[in-house]
Amino acid sequence: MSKIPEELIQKYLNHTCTPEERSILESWYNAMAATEQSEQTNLDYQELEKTIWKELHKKNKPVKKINWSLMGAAAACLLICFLVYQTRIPTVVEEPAKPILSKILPGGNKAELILEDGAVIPLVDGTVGLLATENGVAITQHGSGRLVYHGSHSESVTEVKFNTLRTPKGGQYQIDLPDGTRAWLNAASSLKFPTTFNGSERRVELMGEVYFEVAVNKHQPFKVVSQDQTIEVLGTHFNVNSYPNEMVTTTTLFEGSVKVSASTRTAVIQPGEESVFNRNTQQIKIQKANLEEVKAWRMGYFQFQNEAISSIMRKLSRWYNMEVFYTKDFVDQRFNGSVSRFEDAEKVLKMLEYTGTVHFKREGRRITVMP
Amino acid sequence: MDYRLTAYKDFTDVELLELLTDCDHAAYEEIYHRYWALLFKHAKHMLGNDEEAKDLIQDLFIALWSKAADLAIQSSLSSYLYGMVRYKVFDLIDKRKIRNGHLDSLATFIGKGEYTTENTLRENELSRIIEREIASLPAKMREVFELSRKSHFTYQQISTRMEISDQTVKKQIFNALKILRLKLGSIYFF
Repeated sequence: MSKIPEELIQKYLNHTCTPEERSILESWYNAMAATEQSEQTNLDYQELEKTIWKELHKKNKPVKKINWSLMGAAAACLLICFLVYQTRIPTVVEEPAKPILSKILPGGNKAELILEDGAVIPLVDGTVGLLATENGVAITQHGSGRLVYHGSHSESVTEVKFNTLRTPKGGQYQIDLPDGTRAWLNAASSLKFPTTFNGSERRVELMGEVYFEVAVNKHQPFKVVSQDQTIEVLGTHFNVNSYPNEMVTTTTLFEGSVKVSASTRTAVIQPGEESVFNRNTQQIKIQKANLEEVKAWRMGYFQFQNEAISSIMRKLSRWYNMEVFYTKDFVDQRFNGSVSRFEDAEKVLKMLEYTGTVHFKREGRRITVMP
Repeated sequence: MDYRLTAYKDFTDVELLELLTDCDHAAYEEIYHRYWALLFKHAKHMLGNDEEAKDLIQDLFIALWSKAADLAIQSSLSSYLYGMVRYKVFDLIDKRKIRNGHLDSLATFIGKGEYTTENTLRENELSRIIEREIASLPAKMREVFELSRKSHFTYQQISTRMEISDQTVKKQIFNALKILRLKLGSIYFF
């Protein structure tokens, strides 16, 4: 083993030193690091942080991600320039005959109930009264899109049957489960549940977006299973958003307490918080929730807070049952705003167009989004 | 650097590292924000010079970004970063760019023959030594580092501790705007 400092260091830098040599160098390094610090100079840390970062930005190879807001600003500028150019040149435009387009009406209380044996019962607003009985459980339809299961208290019911409530695009529905738990389904969602909750736990499966007000039962924890996570609750009010075409599953808690398990992770959230499970990274993040935004769909409106148009269009397509396409030069702008859910689709799209940063072409139920 | 994606503040080092290997620039930025001051202090102590410490930190972070995709770190993010500083310090000693006193000190140390053989022990010792310097950093930098260490802190708790005024102001503006929007029923580009 070399005893010459310069040689040791050179070997260390070349990664050719022996474990013993490495031990010596690193032990010496630690000893040096541990010595008393000299007098503290009054450095402006804030300034220094910015200075170094500026240098880094200059020298680093470009970031792969596209700066959308910058592109958006550039696109807006181009658009303005283009419009100015256009208005200068008088053109004679022949008005083509406009086809009469039927309105795209907003969604409403629409759903279907699928029984265990596969029978499908359509649920339409208007019909009220006893719908069916399953295993001694009475299923009744109340007004305004609400289905109620009157639980059977008879202990003789051993066979449990599963029913599924499903909303189409443009549908929404509310259901009272056999234990008194209430669930509100948004568009393109489904909830699978047993006709009787016997057993050590109450278990339901969902897809899409459902808001729950779980009936309190300390002896029977309520479990909500969705595509990639399980939620365990005792008695709570919470919203689950788990659409197959969204990258994240979000669980927002309004009241009570909820434990979310996804992949190998669990998280307990408090009222006002939400857990966001990302399917790509398989991580759960807990963050403060915007309760107003999450409540919006049940209160009858859409609310967007710094939301990308692609995400907005996914929400709109579920409610209005539209197909959305994007042009090649499309820019994923962000929007803030809220609008009633019960307007025609055209009105909503027109409002987005008023901003001048996005435009739509409509052919029947097909919408093309362009800058 | 005034606006940091709030979500990234709460990510643990493990999570940031994962994101960094995906060339996530926001994760890189958060790592810089979390560690630069500590690494700078340590480099300054070892080099005895502000300017050289600044250059070292710059080179370190440039290197970190350029090999982000190929990173395969066995230990922790912090250990890796501290190791990067150490390597660069040895490099500067080798190039005679810093005070010669180091070589003499090393020669003496070799002569004594006392050293720690265990890699992990040395690694942990270095981490402790460097992180002791937290106490002498400006309060804000100190808090960021300490909070990031406590991974069980939820966003709400962290924001309550650190950004009360930001949250209140943001919420007030948002509420006011929301009322305005609902009344007008319009969507505008923000």
